[in-house]
Amino acid sequence: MKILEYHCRALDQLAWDFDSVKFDNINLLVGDTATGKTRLLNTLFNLGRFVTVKEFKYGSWNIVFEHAGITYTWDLQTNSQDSDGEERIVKENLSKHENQTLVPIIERNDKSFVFADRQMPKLSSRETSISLLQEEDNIRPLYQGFSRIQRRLFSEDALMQVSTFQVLPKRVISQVGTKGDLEKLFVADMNLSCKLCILSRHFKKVYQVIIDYFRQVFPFVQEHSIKELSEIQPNIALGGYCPVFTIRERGSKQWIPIHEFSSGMKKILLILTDIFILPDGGVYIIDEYENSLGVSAIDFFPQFILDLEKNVQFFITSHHPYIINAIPPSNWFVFHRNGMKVSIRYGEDLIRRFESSKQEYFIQLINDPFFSRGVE
Amino acid sequence: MNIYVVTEGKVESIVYQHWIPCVNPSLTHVSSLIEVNVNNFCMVSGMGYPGYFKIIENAILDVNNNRKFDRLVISIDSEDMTKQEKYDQIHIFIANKSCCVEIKIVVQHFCFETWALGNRKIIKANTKSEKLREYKRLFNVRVHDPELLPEEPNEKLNRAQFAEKYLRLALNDTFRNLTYSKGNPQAVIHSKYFDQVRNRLRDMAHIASFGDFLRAFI
Repeated sequence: MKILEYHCRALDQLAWDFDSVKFDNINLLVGDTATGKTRLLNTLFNLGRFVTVKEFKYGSWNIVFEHAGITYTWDLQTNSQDSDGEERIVKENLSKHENQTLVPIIERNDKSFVFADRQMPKLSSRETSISLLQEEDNIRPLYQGFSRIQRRLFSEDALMQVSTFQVLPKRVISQVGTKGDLEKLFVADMNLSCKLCILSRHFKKVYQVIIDYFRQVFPFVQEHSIKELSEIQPNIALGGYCPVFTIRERGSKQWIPIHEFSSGMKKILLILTDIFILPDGGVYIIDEYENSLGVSAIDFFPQFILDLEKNVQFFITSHHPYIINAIPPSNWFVFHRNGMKVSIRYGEDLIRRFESSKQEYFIQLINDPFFSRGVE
Repeated sequence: MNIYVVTEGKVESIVYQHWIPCVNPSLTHVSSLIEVNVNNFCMVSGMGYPGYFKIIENAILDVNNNRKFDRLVISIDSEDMTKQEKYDQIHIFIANKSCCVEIKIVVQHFCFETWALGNRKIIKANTKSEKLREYKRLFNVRVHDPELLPEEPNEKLNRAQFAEKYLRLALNDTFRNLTYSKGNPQAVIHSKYFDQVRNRLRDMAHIASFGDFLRAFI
């Protein structure tokens, strides 16, 4: 799935309204604090949740996206949180782009629900049609597309969560092992060590790529190994095979288990694993990549995503000069907020101005009045 | 006359836009090099990020390449240095760089807030804040030259930190609900505030480094 155009207006009590925007493969959202970058990413992530886990969200979305070679337009509007009545979808139109025309697939409002020219029986008005009709052949790929939107949180708690001990689920091993299906690993609710363990057994090349990049960022990592918990903590038994990703650093004989890694090391390993497991057409959202990272880990990322030969769409926010300088302005989306109205300007439009100066792009960006006025 | 101005922090990037036309009303601010035409000034600020010398270096390249400018003004805080030491540091840095226009160095001794403390109207005789009374006992900027402000020993503030806190307290004490920070210096941008600072230099010969600012834009 690739999001080509996006417009969202929250219909909750805050009622944020974002400019309509056309996205690219790599999208760097820049702007002063509180200009709405994270909120925009939340609306995108929430839309994915609305479709896949039926988590109702108040809002109005107009989205053009491409999945498996087909372009779709989807307009979805719920009632407003202020309005009377229960949570419900009031309008939904899904169309396919064919020869520069829009071919309707779903037309839905308060009174009618038409799918492929057929009137549908009464269905839950709390659920999106993509969710309700996910078993239909022409809707299934769309549902799959929305399930590939991934956002990671990198708080201390979140990083601890992915590095805790977990017994390797047998069901996932059999599914992944027999079918060689990486998507099963993507959807599996497993910690990092379990995922790395399965990769090391069934997807050796993917595992090796992750390790190579990890060692590129942290060259002091001499060796890596997936050990059984009992080798690390003889006093703990979890009743099953519990893999623990470990490393040994240069000049040390000690094996360091993942839960004792620094936050930055855990974060990099998690991002690398996520990205290489993410199925083709995935969307990966990273809010403030630079948090908890040292210089070498920050330096690594922009070139990594620019060089990545994988069909993944990135949405990243950053305040860091290196990240902003390293990602071309044509990939920037500059945020400015006036009350609840969030204006978004394309970095592309700044290039002509920027090229007249030798100042670094980051310096020019933070001096740009649209950026520096931040929130008004 | 077109002037390229390089400033170090965020506060100058906001205040100078308002104060430069107070010095020279013929100058109008523009926000990018391509907008520079006649009697404009264009500013680039480091916004407090490291790498100020790189910005100066690139500013010299910009004035050489664009050929639109008549002057380059470099503004910098002296911080813990003497005014002369900071001036020499910049002068040595630019000495071997070829620049096609004159360069004027403005050393804010020792920071922008030192100048802003030059406004005697913000220091009332009867201050409500106990902390401000304490600061005045330590060093009364209404009477003495703010450039001579010492460090604050009780809170272990260096003189730049002391000046910023002193200014914030004074503004807040004199004008209720008026606050000051480097990112939000709206309280000091007005031409009446600028006039008071200029008067301090003229009438009492205090904040001498502010004179360099005035001369840089005439």
